[in-house]
Amino acid sequence: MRFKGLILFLLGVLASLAIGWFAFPAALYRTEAQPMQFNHAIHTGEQNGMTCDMCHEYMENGSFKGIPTIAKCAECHSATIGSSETEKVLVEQFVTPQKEIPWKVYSRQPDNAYFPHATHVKRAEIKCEVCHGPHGSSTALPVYQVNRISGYSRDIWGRNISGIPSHPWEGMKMDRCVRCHAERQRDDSCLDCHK
Amino acid sequence: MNITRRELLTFAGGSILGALFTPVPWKLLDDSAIWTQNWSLIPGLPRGPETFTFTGCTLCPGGCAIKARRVNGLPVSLVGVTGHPVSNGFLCPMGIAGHHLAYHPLRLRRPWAFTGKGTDSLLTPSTLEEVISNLAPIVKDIQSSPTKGTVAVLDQRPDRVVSDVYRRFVSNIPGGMYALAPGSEDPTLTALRSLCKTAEGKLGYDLENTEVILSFGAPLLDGWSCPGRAVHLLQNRIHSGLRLIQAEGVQSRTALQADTWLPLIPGTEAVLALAIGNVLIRERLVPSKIEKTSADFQTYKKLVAKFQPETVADICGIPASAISETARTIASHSSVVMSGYNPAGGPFDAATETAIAGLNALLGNIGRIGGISLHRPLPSGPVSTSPAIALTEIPDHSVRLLLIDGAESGHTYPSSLLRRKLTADGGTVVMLSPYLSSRSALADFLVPSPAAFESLEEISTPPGAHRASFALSLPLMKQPDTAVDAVTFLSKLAGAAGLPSLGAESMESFLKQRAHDIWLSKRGTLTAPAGTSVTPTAEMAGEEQLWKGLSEGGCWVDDVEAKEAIPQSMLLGTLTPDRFDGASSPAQHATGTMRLIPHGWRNATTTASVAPVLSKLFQESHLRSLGGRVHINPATLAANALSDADIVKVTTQSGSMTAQVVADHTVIPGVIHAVVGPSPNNTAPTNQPEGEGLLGLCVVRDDGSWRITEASIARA
Amino acid sequence: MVVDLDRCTGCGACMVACAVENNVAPAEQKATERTGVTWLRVYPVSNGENFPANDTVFIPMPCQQCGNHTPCVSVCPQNAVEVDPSTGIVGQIPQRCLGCRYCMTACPYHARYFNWWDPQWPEGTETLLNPDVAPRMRGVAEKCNFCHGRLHAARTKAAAAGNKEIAAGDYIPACVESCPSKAIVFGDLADETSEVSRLSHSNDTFQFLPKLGTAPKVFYHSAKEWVRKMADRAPLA
Repeated sequence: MRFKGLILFLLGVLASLAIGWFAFPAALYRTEAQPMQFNHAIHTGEQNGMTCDMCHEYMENGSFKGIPTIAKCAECHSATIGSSETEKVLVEQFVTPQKEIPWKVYSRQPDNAYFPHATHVKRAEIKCEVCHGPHGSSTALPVYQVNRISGYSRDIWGRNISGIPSHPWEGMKMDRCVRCHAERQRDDSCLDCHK
Repeated sequence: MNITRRELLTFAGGSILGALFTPVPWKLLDDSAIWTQNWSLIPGLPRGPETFTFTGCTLCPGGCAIKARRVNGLPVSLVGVTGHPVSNGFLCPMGIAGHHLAYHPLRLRRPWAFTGKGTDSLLTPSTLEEVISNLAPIVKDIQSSPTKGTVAVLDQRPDRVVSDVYRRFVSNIPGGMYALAPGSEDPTLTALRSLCKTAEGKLGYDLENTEVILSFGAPLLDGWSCPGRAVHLLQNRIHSGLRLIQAEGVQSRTALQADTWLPLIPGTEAVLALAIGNVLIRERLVPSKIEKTSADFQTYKKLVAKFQPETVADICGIPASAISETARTIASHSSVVMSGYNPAGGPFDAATETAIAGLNALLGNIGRIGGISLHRPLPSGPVSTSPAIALTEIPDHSVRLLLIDGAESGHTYPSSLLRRKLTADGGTVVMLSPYLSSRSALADFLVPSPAAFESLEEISTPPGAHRASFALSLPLMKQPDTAVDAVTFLSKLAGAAGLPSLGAESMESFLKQRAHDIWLSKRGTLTAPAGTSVTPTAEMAGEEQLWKGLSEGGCWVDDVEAKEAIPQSMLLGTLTPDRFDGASSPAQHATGTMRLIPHGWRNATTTASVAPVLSKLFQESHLRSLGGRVHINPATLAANALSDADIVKVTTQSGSMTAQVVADHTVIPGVIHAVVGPSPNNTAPTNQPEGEGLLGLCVVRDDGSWRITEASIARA
Repeated sequence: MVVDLDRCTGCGACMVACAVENNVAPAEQKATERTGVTWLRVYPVSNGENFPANDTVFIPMPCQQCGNHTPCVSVCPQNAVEVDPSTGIVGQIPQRCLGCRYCMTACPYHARYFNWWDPQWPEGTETLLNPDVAPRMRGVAEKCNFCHGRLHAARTKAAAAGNKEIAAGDYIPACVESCPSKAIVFGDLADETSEVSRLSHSNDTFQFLPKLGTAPKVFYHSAKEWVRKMADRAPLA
């Protein structure tokens, strides 16, 4: 058969491309369920009008508390105040027994990365949405997918396997930090961001 | 259809080319790099809220105040408390790493029993109930036939509330004895007791007001009382004019910082003290009232007449001019004469301690501002307890049951001092300690007490203080369920043996009682942590306020009373001059062999109580020495054809051991500093505690001292 | 940094505080003073005289933070270490290091240490680590970064309070904080009003190996002439 070699070659290329672009990402990431759902929109929307910093607070020494502890939820939800099944789970399984919700964190970075929210939010006045996207108005938590090899969330690389973000808030690898730092002339030293 | 190899390779070639245009290679590279950073061997960092709380260190009697940085409630680092009335912001290397001790590889997590005897004895797991069920019958038997031997408690850190509990315990048992370990009391002050008429109250040094300190080896910067006190005073010298004269047989860190170092040949301390006494008397520097009020002044005068500086200069290694100069200095300024223990070397002999203490009496220092102070002990309710005796006062072979309390004095001593007190069949020894240590080899039962910072404990007055103080050591971590504190242990044992109750059920109740007594006395002040506020006890609304302040890390200190002269009677106390016979003649001191002196660092004489990270000092640098090393002056080494790092055999009357030589300029020629310290692999968890090491080579004299032993060395 | 060698008593508190602050693990069983990791090391140095004229000085030696032709920076093939232009601190990123140890050869002060073995943490002590400093694995070099974790904490605190500059009292390296004799003075050398700047210009203040031209930012002070004379050929033990 003519061009058999060429056809096989191209088949090889196609097979590789297909595996690389579709099978590989499917295999690389493992989906894990969050312990429960959380609807940001109900809290931040017109009904309750909360702002990010009402739950995502700073500690006394200025470091960021991150995801609030169960005590924060209990401030309003010590008993059910709504009618959803999710809230029932919250109150019965976590608030009442005072158990911390084992959230899976999308933005978890390695231990050697130092990121102070105070400097970025309070001094540089960068809005939460710039890095976190419209997370605050989401009605459900995004699916949590963890990279089987590195152990970090898919959101660090970005949802897109190519690493090219489809939204400006996607992905938080080092190059994204460095780019923004360079734009603002703050790219002094490795130890600014590493510990 | 047949697929040829060529076709397969073509396909593969295509796949490889295609792969380059997929994210696979780049993502895999990136992810595996991250994967290598996630190895289980690299620990993850704690996350959580940061808090600061105050507590106190219980590793030695110094009791330095600590500000603990905690993450998620667990201690992450410890620092001293600036402005603290007792410790002045100080914290030693042991304390800085103290929060690691709960996880020391040699930490005991359950009771253990030694089965079998001698070198065949094995550690077998036990339980508290089993230990108690073994000990209760012994106690009962002692009660019915006390002549077969009695019970003794060895307390290495007296004057705590738990010390009272021990005394109460033994006082309920016929013949029961409560003894203090060597190194648990200040030697000069103990000797001074025999020179003072009054026995009320506690003696201390008024260093804050003194102008000259003459120290016979008191390790002011090497682990003395609460080190922060000495460090603060010495670093402040530039303003206060305080002078330190250190008379010591090694150029210690204290000697290096002192204004004058008198390089005293070890063993001749009494000679120097009496020579100074000689100068004081012949140059009429003694206050006239001392001549009149001391009953044995003439005896003393006759004795020191034999110790002319010119004749004894060669014996003690100090030029006559320096001796005279020292005498004049301490007489013309307000001064304090003190002595101290090296943590492994133990006390000078009784005669020497008396000679040194006697200089204070001779100068009229006792009761004077800037001299030896008498202060009130901690207020406490009436207790009827056993008297405290020295370990050496326990009759040999009289102890059937020996309880050793694990709170360290910071000092060590040869185990033979204990062994000889046990009955002929070996008796039964119980050690309450958080760790398996070299002393554990002596025990039959090991009961795990809480490790550092795991339980509520007391910080009592450091030795030599000029006023009483009290604080709490608040736990920073949760103790394991199997840990048993002394009060719980004694209560259980007393209950099982049918003894009367000890008064309260828990350490906390006893401590609250003590706080209650303090509050009732209306004495003293409470300083809030970090010296932020000072509240007189008399102004407190209720005792809860005192307990609350203490529970937040506050420190209570007594008021400093007006000084009153303490009537003294003697300069030599109960000693007769013949104790010093021959000391003034050179022949007595010429030995020809070397003097072996055990040398250690406070709280670091055994691997057990040294946090593994202290390897920075002992193993990963030359700053301190590991156990099993002998430090010798380079000139002495040259004279013996030895050099640094040689392996030598050290032989004394008690046996011999191999050790490694370290050439050390700070050691006086002719002296071997045998290091009693942690062993090299101090992070290796081991079932076999290290032996006594070089301490076992020391010869213990009749008066219980072991400091100087004749030794010879040869290349091994 | 200015270290007063006359005040240093050689107690070693700074060495232990440094190890605790920077998550430096205890020694491997086989480690010696050549292979151990001590970001700050205190060297006892003798004047070499015979008894009784002998004298000893204790020299705490952290990374000297060389400012000129920083030796380790110039040789690193990985760019794992570089000088921060704003603070002058020579920052080592162990996670980037490939373990060639060229920097250790280059450092004239022997202030760099290599993880010959995986750091061994006695079980349980890994829960007591300082969250501000990342732990390292074997095969990488590490060194004193002037307690950069504390600088981070000070910056975070200032930012949270809305301040542009950190409060000087918020950034104190562990060695400075733990020294009972207050022998180490730390601060901004560029600030002429600071104590550290004043002390660095004093007559009895010197640097080690000045002839090499490394321009270290760690100065030493001693009234003893034999100590100052040693500076150009310090016989470190």
